[in-house]
Amino acid sequence: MKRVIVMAFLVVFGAVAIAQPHVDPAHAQLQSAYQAFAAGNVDASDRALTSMLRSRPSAEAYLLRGAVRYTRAMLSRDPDPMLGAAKNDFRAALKMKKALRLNRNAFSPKLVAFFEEVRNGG
Amino acid sequence: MSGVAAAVVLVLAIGAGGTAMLTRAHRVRHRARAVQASVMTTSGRLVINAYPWANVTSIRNVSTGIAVEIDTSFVTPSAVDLAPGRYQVMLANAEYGEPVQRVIDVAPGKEASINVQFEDGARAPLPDLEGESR
Repeated sequence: MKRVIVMAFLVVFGAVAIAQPHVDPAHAQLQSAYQAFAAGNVDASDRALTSMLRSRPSAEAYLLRGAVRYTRAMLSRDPDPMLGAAKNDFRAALKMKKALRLNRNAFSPKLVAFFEEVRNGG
Repeated sequence: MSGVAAAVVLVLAIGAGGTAMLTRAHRVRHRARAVQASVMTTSGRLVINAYPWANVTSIRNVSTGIAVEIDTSFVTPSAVDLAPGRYQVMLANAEYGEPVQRVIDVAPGKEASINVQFEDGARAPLPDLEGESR
């Protein structure tokens, strides 16, 4: 009886383990930082992306942090320093991956325009 | 000799005029700074953000009914300095149907903020960051 219970447990546990989709930790971190940005917690999103970039730089993380910093600049009384930081992030992102794009439905049109300006050498 | 005296008088006159002009320019600058400082201390600031984004179509002072002059392309994220008061702000995004209205108080020297969520940003999926812009 004990053996049957153990076998049943192993079968159930195995099935659950197999059913779990593989989640890339970097993608999960990126998603979490994006959700903080989308919810309006731009400072938290900036901190999360900066931490990600310190441990493992990626084009997507630079791109998102650029979007976050552009937003911070637009909400700031003194936008220039943060706007410069956003531009640097977009440049770093494009250097790593030229095909990057900001979806026009998910990001503000003026942010998309700023990103495209940086892509075109602005 | 009288020619030399005339030249000296001319130089002195030009110098005095220049000094007077400089003094006047300084006074104007000083007054402008004072006005700027007064506006900065009496106005408040309204910070407007939205997910995914919004056109700010109007900002109206609720007490006076007067609409604040805004750019036709006033898009979030943005901030605007306003005289203290209660304001009605209209935000629209064509993808999400009816415009959204918010009423907010702006206090002197303080920052007020509006964050409209046309969709729940905290649950938003990460958008595709590659491929063609859509």
